[in-house]
Amino acid sequence: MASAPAMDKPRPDIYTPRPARVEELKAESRDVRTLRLAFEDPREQQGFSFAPGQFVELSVPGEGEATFCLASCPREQGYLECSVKRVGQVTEAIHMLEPGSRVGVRGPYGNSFPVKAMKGRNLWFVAGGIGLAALRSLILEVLGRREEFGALTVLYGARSEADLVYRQDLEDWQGRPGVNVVLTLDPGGEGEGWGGRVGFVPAVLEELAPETRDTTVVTCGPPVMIRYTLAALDRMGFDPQQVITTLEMKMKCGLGLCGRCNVGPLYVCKDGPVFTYAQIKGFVEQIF
Amino acid sequence: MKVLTRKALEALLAARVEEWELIAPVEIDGKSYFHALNSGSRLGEVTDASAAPLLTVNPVKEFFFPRRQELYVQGPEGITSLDSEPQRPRLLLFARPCDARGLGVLDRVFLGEVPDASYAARREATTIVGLHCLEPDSRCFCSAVGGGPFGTEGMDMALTPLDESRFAAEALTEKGEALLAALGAAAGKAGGAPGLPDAGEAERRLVESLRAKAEAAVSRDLEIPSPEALAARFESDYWIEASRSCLACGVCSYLCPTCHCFDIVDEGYLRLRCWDTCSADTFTRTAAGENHHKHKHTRYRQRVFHKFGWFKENYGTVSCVGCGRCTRHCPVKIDIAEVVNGVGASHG
Amino acid sequence: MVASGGSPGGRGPGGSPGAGTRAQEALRTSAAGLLAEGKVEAVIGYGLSPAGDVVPRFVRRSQDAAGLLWNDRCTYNLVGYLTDRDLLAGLAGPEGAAGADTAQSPRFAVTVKGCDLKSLVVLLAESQVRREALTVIGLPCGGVVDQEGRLLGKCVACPEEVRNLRTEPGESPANGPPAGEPAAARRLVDLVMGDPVPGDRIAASAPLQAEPFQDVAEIEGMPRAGRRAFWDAHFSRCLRCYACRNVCPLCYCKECVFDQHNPRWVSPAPGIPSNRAFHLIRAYHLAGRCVDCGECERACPVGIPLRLINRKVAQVVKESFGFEAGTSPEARAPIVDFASGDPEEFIE
Repeated sequence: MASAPAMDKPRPDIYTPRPARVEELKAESRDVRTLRLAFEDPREQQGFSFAPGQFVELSVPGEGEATFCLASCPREQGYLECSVKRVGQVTEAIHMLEPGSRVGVRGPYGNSFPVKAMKGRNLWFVAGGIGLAALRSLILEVLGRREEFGALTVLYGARSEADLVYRQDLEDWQGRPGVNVVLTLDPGGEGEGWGGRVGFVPAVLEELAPETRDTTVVTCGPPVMIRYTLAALDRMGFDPQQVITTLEMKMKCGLGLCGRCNVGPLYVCKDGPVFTYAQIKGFVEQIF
Repeated sequence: MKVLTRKALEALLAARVEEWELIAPVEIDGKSYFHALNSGSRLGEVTDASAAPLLTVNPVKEFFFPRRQELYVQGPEGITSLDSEPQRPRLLLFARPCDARGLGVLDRVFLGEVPDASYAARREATTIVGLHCLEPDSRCFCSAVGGGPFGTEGMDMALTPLDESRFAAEALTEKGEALLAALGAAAGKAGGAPGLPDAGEAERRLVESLRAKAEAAVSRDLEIPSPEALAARFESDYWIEASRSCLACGVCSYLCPTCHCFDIVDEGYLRLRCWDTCSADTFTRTAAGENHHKHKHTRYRQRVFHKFGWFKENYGTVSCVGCGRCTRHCPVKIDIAEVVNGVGASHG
Repeated sequence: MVASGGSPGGRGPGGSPGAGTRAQEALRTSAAGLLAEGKVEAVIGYGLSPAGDVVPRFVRRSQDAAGLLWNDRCTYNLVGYLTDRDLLAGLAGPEGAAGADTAQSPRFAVTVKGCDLKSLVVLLAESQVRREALTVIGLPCGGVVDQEGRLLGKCVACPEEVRNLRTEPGESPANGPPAGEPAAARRLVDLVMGDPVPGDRIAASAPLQAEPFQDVAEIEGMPRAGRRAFWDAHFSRCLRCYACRNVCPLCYCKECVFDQHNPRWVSPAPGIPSNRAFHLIRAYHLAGRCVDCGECERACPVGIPLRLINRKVAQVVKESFGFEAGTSPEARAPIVDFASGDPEEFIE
């Protein structure tokens, strides 16, 4: 019997992360921190590129690995950013990291927002809570090529003022031409001195009544928020192909192998996480 | 088609037991398992095909997709990949047609768009010697899902027991040819003429009649529902009924030759991959507590739809080889064939 | 056709078809009555699958009671289903026999053998089931068999008063009601199906243990290294399918310690150390609670002798506290209770 044939090229290792280091940890809200990191090998960092919507698997030695969408601007070569909400073991460990801490990165995985198809259109970014992180890389990309897109609206809400993330970015975006930022807090979440709106994001969206013509809506947030937002957009007559969301689901491999993120024939890690409403309309009950 | 004696098979295995890793069905405490043989001491027992059980408890997937595979160490000093390629060539003996076919299904996943290097290495290092089934039982439904008791898919060599001391042997791949040559040489050393004799007319006719008898014995039918039939039954209490007695354990997934879902977990700084099951309520639970499969019946529905619907859509074949292990070992005897056949039936 | 040994329809308890049929008829009549009169939402019992297996059956309509079964292949302990809230809520749906007035407090009937009843006693003691919501249907039993028709190990040592539901559990026959009058355990059992069953089959199958816990003593008699090798060989086969845990009527924690993510107490990946930890920790969690219904061992696909572990713990509990689980719903298990006279040598 012949022995195993010699391999003529090394096989790609799909599970082992690449070493990276934390550069900065910034508190965004009471339980969200933005982690800025860079690969240990500067050439690897320079060579790394991703498209808005993609995600990475971040791992902390001895604690575990979890999925985070890339929130930095794809044009930034020197670093990557992920915003992390503290909900469990891995995220707690990430919150306790310091500049210089070692982490592991696998990725980028997943598909990305259909930026080309969005050109020339008015864009609405509808987000709730930490969901804004999933849209940030897209917003930054679009702002970096501002003239290619129409009017931009960011509708963003959270449970309370303390839960809003990217306060600085939001202020900055509000100041740009042709960008309208609407902030809202859940009823009961507003404190004294809150000057913005009060209302759940899907309800405020209906109040604002975006025009369907030449408009694409991108939404992300807690599952219940996405579900109601999609329903509201449906009621408003939006073409399901022009409604885009990015789904969060428990993931492990990020490669479409472990089966965990399977919904219908789709794997959120591989066929998503970015989906049009048209793609997932048949599976909404399974996801939310 | 050649005629291979048990003596020659034993002689070759005995000669190679140090050099190769031999995996074969062995009996442990009254049950049969595919197990790596560490010595030649059980070769006599192992090569007795007439005593071989119809099916082992475990499928062969664990030798390619291990239950537990250590991936890398991510410690304070850095990240070290752990190599788990087989160190020796491997011979997997007496895989049933359903077992061998199951590997073909896993190949579509692990050798697909994103190839899994260690799986590929294990496949390459292994020669699979299949054993045809002379007496399928009433739980077998391989024929209903594209296989059969005399199937050869996934095998490098196929053996048909002719009697207690002889097999008809057919090499199906290069690896099979190489094995056949080695067996021929072993036969020569064992005192016969070198090379294996060709099967004669009598042997060929015997194989055909054994095949016909075996194929007729697989009477269990499973009607793979059309995508439309599945979709029509999606929102239905049928799944609550079908899964009512289910214990949501992992027996069906772990013993299934084609189930491949896994978890990635940490033991200290060691990160490893291990089998997981969509039956468990923790499978899709996020750290934040979201779980779109809180209820047992949606998980059971997901299992059936995945295996007989969506997997087929994505990979071109149903994720089932009809071995029946899931039902044989289910602690409450849930019968997936019965459940699937009920999908098309009219509502009660 | 049934793909296993033993007679196709199963034999009556005690092996005699006649007695079994009478008890089974009584069961079907009682169940049909309970459902027709709206006394219960569903009867949880045994049925026969189309493939010929005994399976758990949840009967909600009076006309379906004719499908209930009672024979020597009815091995399952159905008591575990009583802690599955989702399952019970699903049964108490609109298709149930009872009307809207029981929607708030659904009632169920469950068929129990003597061993099953003991686990129900523990659930009552732990306030996991409401007695008034249950109609307990007792099944006097002469032993149940495995797929090959062999009497289960647990049956060999079953006391007559337990298997015939003859007395208040814990009461010796000497203090109990006159022989032939079943179930003075009336407060635990509402209906008894059939007469007490003779123990011929048990007596014929194997000698009773010379002493209780003889099987445990045999393991303890092994030298330490041998004991370690014995258990490691078994634990090496454990797939962490959790069939043992999920089938156990007393493992009902909403979040099992082994499913906890944060912190992760035991690695979910199979491996001898983590498997050992799983089995021993689970046995500790069952200390003073396990009644040796044997379902864990029956459910294990890889033949791990789990009863031995739980019986060892039960032996320690018996020697240390004079306590046996499953004897009385009022008894508090020693691990969850204390008495002022308890020894405290460890605090000095």
